[in-house]
Amino acid sequence: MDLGVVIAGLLTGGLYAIIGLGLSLVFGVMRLVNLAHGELIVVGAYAASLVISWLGIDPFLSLVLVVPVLAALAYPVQRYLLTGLLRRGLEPPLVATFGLSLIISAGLTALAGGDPRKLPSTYSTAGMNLLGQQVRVIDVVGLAIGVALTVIIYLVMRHTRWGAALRAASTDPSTAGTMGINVNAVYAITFAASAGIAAIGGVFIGTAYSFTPTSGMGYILIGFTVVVLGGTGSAWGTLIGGLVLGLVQSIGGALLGGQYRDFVIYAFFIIVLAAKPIAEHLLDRVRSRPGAIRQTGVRA
Amino acid sequence: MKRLFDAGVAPARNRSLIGLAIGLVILIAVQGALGRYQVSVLTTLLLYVCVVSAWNLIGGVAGQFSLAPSAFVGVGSYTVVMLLRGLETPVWLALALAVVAGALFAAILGLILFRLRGFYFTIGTLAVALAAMTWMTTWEFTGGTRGISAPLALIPDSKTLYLWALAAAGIALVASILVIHSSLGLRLRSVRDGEDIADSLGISPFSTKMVAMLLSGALTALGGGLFALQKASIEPFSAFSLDWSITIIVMAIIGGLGTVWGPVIGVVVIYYGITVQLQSLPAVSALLSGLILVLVIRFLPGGILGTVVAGVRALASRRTRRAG
Repeated sequence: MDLGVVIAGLLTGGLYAIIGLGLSLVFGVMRLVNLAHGELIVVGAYAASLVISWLGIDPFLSLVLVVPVLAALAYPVQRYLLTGLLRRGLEPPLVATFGLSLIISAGLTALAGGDPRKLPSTYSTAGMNLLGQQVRVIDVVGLAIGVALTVIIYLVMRHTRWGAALRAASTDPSTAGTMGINVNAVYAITFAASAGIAAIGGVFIGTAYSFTPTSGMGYILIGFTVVVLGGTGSAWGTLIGGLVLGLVQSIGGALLGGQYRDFVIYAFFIIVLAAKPIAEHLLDRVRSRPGAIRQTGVRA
Repeated sequence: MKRLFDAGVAPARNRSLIGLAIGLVILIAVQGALGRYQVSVLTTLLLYVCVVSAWNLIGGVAGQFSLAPSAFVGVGSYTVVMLLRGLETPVWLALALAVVAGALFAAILGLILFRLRGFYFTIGTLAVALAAMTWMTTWEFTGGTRGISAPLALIPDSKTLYLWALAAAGIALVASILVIHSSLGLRLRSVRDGEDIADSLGISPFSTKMVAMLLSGALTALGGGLFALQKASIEPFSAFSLDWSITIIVMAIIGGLGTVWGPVIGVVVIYYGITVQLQSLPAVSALLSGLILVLVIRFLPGGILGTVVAGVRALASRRTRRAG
């Protein structure tokens, strides 16, 4: 195994962590499985492409506009649609986000057509030397964004009043409500933040790779793999999950051949899912605790 | 007469079976009067009834929100086309083997994924659907990304295909009538509503869900095989496309989950009401389906059929209360 494969895997892992962070936040705080997260990423990329064609600015500068707009659009979706459905059980919010993903991808196809696009930038193909290996600058930027977002989420969760309100609403929404925390607002802001993170991911993907209105479904699976690997609601866990997945894909692709890169991810995810109940059971045995009291809340 | 008009499970089942028989007889009778285009639209509609009813068994009655119907459609499509092309088997044998392949795939999927609950199961099925699609793009035996086509001489003509589709829809509906109005249906619903409680009452969630999965997989593969015969040539990105899962689930939910006739209503509303009318604008019709899905889940939790039934019941109970 040469160093290049490992480095390439870790760099891709940064992107996977970005995809996983938004999902993990929403899932950890309100147990919402957002099947539209991949489409939020794609919307971020299209919005950036629109802003760039208007103003002619750098893709990453467009984030100043794209992130707040996407977050503002996401807020009412959670507040007035998804929060109400969360109280009706598991399936209604799942179906609603499924419908949202359909609306977004179909809407983008109707507006922008199905052709692949890429955000224009001068540095997307530039190379640099990292530990003796030739890599793309943009991939290093991706890893840096992933790490930076993880640190920011960790600090906000751990050291601000907002983070405390968020963790309280996650652990026990009704008690948090009696303590003067507006749980509905916390949920909506969490969803908006997740959409903002998705937009950052979208702009990065748009610059480094290409995107179509329907590329969201592939990202969602990567995101869930990361979340399941890293444990729910933990920012550092998500980062580690992303890096591990990047490594697995890179090494798997190097061993089996490039055309199996995507297949490696899906197969790995199925193995992880199949192994998860067994692993949890063993862990419960080791710590001699009943499975029922296993921690599932948000950890910072 | 008592077996037909009384309240209770058996009369309800008999009413549904008679309704289905009447519907099938009408659809056979009108066949001669239909034009070429109408036959093809009705064939597709009937095949959708088959696969949506099949998904309803696992997704609606058993409450296991599977995103993998696309994989079963693909398995059925490829089994039929490979058999016709490689072994030149008769169509009925190819379809029968597609059913077997679907059940086998369902068994494997169930063994791996029924350890998981709720959204973990859902995401697991999404992984299976995507894994199956990417695997088919790399598998040279089935033609890789280029796909394969069935020999034209062996493909049944459109009228025969219509009868096959009618048979497939009939089988799927009979299966859902028998399952829903039976103790198996009750056990499935008890697993859906409270897996642990069902388990504590002596119902094995694993084997109950497995039965639904096997039935659902076999029927979806049957529908997929017939869809492939309608198209004649298939490739991984269309046969295993996630669009199948999306369309099937949207139809089932809009019609009414866990009911016999909900899927039929969903298919007619989405396929005939939107897809056929907006043929030239596929993106707009997908957009409309998504919008309807979100509105239905927000305002009509039981789907169209569930809401209508609840409304009729409310009216009836108000009348009896006033009379009493």
